[in-house]
Amino acid sequence: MSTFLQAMTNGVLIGGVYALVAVGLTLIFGVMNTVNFAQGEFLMLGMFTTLMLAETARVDPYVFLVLVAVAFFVFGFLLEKYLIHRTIDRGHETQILLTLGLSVLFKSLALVIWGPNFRSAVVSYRLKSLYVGGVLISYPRLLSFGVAVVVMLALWFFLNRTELGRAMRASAVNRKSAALMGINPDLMYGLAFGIGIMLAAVGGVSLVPFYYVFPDVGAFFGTIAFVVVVLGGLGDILGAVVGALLIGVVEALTAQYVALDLSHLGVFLAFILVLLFRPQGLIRGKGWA
Amino acid sequence: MSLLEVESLCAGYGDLTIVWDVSLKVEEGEIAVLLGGNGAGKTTLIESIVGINPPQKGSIRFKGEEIQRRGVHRMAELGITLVPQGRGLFGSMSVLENLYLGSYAPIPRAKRAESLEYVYSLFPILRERKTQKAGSLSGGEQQMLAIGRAIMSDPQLLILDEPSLGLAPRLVETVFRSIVEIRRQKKIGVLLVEQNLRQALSVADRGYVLESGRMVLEGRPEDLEANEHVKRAYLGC
Repeated sequence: MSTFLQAMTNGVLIGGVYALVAVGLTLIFGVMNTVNFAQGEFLMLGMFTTLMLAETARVDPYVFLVLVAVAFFVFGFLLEKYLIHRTIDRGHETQILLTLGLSVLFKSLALVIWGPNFRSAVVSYRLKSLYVGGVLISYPRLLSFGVAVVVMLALWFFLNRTELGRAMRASAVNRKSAALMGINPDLMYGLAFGIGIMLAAVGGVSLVPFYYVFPDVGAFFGTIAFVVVVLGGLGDILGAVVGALLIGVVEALTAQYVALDLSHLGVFLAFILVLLFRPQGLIRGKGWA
Repeated sequence: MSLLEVESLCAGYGDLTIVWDVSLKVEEGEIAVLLGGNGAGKTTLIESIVGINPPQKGSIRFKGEEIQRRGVHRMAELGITLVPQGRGLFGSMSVLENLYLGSYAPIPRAKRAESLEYVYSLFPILRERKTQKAGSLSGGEQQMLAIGRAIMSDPQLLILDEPSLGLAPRLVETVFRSIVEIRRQKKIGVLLVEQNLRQALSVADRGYVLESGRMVLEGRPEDLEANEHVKRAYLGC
């Protein structure tokens, strides 16, 4: 029983990071109807940026959470304005080529700048855990999950309780009507992309204290994000959160009860089953939490 | 100076021209009706006026100012609001959120509370339904919401694209009555696009008939109604 609870806990905790990356992806898709194939690479860049800053300043990676978040929001906003925007009215093929190209570019740049080695941050609490009711809760993983929860609540508040957030949801539901209301679609695209990238980068920051940093790290998280987004229903934020936690748990249970190196098998098996039986997404069709 | 003045406008998509050399105007405080059958080019013309599909040729002046190069999202702040065909509601959002979005632009936002009360007084059912999802309303309620949302932007020119489409006769009457009411109380100009000729002309001050993308007739509603061509083509007598 306690191994089961342990696996569940691990799964839920890593699910927080999955949720951050996946919600970013689904938000961009919902508003822009663009699939960002570089989502994982933004997480990777967020990790490297944080690691470099933390090593240079010799302080805890979390010190740079807000700074990295703001920087990546601006980065995403400008990237949309000057690059992604040119593909918005083109077909999906053009958008895929562009974001896929960006992902290759970022990976190669990271390889050139930081080299292929696995790195990790030195933090005092890396191996610390809390022991609650027979379950070990890794301290850095708990922190990461906490960040995910806070960021999700902030995003919920932004989307549901602010003028701009409401406008963004409206653009996702009906672009033409939103423009008629006076909502500038270009601004919404920039915001959506900026926030989407920021969520991935924040996920990256929260991974640094307990995960290896290397140029290819984004590939894994990016793939998971796609699975999660399809599970949750394209463009559905609540669906992405639920999907992320579910995938985290499936992954951890497979690792525990089948084989450690087959954990992805469980993830993709779950994915195929959902595609077969609930292709519209776990919760509903396209909707906004 | 007219509220809206469209001159020699050509509109279409890509190389295809659908609306040819059309001119029309709407004066302040009047209801102008644009009539025409399916495929006459009414929606193309309207979408061209509000910038969804910018005109290929011609000029559009609002209160004397050229507006044809502005984007769609600038129309709300200028004072032009379109209730699109099919209503264009934000179906998965609540009634209240739809109304709030109507007053997204800065100037109407300052008057939001006041406009909301006015919309509720016009359509009391919307107050009862305010927490419901827009997509869950009945057809008539959805049309009221679409008009209410447009009123929230406190427009000077209200354009309605076939508001009676798909509504039961009794509801069509409610919708038309509300349009007349809004015009009377707010003194705004209304451009009403309709196929429902008899009812539309009964509320109009001015009428236009569009056929195959060309304006074939214009004039006072009673003259249009008496016109032999209109009688034969649209009234079935």
